[in-house]
Amino acid sequence: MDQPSVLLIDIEKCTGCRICENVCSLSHTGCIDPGESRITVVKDEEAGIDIPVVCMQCERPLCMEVCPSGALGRDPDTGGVTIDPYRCIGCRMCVMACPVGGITVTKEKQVKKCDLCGGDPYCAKFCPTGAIVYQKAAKGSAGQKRKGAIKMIHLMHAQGSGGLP
Amino acid sequence: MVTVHFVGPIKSHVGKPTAAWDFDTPMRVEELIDRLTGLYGQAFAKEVYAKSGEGFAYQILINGRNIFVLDGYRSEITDGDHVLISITMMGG
Amino acid sequence: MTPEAAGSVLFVDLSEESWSRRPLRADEVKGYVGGRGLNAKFLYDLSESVQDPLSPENPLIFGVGLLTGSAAPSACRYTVTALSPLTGGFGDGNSGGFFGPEMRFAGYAHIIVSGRARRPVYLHIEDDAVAIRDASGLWGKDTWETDGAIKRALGDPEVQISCIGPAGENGVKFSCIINNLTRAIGRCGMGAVMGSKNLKAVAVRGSGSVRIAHPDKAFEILKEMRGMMAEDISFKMFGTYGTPALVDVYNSRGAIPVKNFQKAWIEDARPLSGDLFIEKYSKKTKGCFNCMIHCSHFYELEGSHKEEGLEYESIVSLGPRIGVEDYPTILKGNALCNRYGLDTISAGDAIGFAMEVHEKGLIPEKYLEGENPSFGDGAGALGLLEKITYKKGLGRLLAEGAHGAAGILGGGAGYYAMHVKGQAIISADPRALRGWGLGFAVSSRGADHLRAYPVVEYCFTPEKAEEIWGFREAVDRSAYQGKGKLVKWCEDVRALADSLGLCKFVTRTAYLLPEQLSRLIEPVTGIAFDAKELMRVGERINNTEKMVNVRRGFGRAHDALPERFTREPIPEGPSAGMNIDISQMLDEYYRERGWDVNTGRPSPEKLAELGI
Repeated sequence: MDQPSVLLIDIEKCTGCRICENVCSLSHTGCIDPGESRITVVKDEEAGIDIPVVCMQCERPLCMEVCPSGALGRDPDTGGVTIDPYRCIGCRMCVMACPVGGITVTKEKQVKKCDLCGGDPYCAKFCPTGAIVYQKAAKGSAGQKRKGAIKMIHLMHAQGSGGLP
Repeated sequence: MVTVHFVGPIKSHVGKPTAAWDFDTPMRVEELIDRLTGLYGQAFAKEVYAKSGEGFAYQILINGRNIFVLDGYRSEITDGDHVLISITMMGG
Repeated sequence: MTPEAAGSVLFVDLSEESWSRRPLRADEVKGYVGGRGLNAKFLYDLSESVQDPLSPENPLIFGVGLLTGSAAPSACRYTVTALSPLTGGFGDGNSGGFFGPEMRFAGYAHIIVSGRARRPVYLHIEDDAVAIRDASGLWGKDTWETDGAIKRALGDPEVQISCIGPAGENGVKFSCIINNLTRAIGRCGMGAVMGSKNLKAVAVRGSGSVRIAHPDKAFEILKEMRGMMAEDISFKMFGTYGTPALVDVYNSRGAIPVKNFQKAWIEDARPLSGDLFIEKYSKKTKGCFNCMIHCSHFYELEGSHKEEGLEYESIVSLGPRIGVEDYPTILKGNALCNRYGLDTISAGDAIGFAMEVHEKGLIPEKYLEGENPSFGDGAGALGLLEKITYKKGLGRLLAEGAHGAAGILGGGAGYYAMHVKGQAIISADPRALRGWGLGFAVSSRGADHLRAYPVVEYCFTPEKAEEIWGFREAVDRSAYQGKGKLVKWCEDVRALADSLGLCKFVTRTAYLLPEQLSRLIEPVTGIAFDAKELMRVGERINNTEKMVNVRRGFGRAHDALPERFTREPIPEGPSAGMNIDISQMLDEYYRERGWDVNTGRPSPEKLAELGI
């Protein structure tokens, strides 16, 4: 089986532009409609924090565990967690159970979530800074390790312990 | 001496915003670009001649005059001239 | 897209505390497109009997562009229009961020506020629900406090807010309106108009959607924009450095104002460079709604503050124009202006003016009140920002703007007020950029580069200039010939672009030509405009704005640059020796516009042709 890919979010690169929200709702509904986006940029403008929040396609999804009607399933191609709208009863237990806020409730009280656009996610395609990338899961953690190492180097330099070059 | 001022990412090829050379003058702008390409590589030429929308990414001025008002890339640079190679960002 | 789908026009009467709504009409969209253009039409129709811009009758008009909130690149902008207390004539301001799109999501294209509330209020709009809420607890708060307080009061951290600070409340002539904490409807004193209505803020929340006529084509357009960001160096510069990079761009041409335009060049501009700003203060880049350019930054001045910013104009007006050359002072000034709600350009300009005329002994002690405004005194300048906001001490005089203050001082102080129609000139010396100089002089809202923005003066080839405008001299910043024609063309195309609600950094060169714009409008809205029609719209908008000014008594004499620029050539630097005399260019501009060369008035034939 192909290695699974995941959406990786780097919040230090997020400019808060909400293009991810826009292309998400546009590709799913033909409209610019933040309420229909499966990804949402949550902001603290005073602190300059911009965080794209989206389903993390858990390996052990809590949403699936709490769903009373078995509406949450797994896409065999992308490995993503999917909602079957015909089984969904709109109880929104999944929304409450999700630890990352990955599920959207629309103004029509429909429950929607990221479906990875069938394997070619629009948000990653259009993010202007690469704050969202669609990448093999293992590669993603390697990237985070490198970032962590660089931070350590800066800290060591700052403390004058002669760190790494 | 020909003094060249660089404004924009092109500065990074040279490593500083201003440099002067004892080139044989008079020389044409295209010759200056060739000489600098020789010093800094093909990437320098690629950047200087890059387009931006309907125009160029860099404007070249000799003593404050746009070369396109003179003789384009064939405009002459003489000893003591100041040449500006500047990004064409503008705004306010 | 039907005109109804573009949004409603909301009329709010603060005196009656009532409101009404109607859909946009097809003729309004076809004739003026939206945003700045349609705002201008509304102002023209509604302001005929208005005397004082700070009176209740002056309509304050918020408008989003036709494409604001859509899939178009950088479709974030909104315009606020009214008669300006600073110029006495047509006034508007434009801002990005996220307020405009939210207006669109709520279903509104324009909000026209008239009258004056009996006590401080704020307008709260949530889709169809419109409420005028008590703001007495907010009056006196700065823009940041106001933004937070309204969000808490409404229990909604996502509500979009456009508000004034104490400067607008106090009627400072160049006070601004702020959204998203640091984005400004900067020019023309729109903040003072809002304050005069006792309107503290407009808070909007929308749950609607903007249908895109051809999503697949919209995605193509966005992909193209992605490509431009990757390939085009100018776009990349905006995306990495933002406008602080312009310090070196203008300085290298010897066109950066120093000490109230006495000089135009800084020998060593490294302490003010974009490079230094990125290196020392910027934490990351920030972008507006749907923008791939992300020209803004989130910066921190350690021990002081952190916020979004920083613009070239603010660097220069709070920097070299007042003799200051260090970022910490500039950044602190910028933060104060954001919170007080002051236009950084006009604030810096008024302080620089005070510094020069004080040097020349033209401010009597009764106005100085112990103040000693001197070039380079950063701490003094920061103190003056507060005094201006609260109209205390010397601030009372300077709150009128440099031109207003000069009128009160007399004694030749007027020579040192660097303004057009009462509004401070931006930080590009017109002696060094003659086409720009004409643009400043004829701009409908006073000294402004964004009306014309003839960037072609330095980035096109003569062949392309000849192809588009019919003459090669367009690319020569020192030439006078052809600039009248160039500025007329640029003004028309810019008016149109502004009315779409797109950021100028996109339409600057990428979507400059009307043909390019029509290829953008159709896939997004489904409305077909041909290029000629679009230019007509641009021309109509400019003539409508001009007619507002004509009605207010403006004539050729108002389309003038300060005498300093003719009398004093630039003393040093790459543009040393240059001065500017606009008369030849102005004649050519009026002829090209079909306006009377002596009075500057649009001819009746021209007005009839445009349906005004």
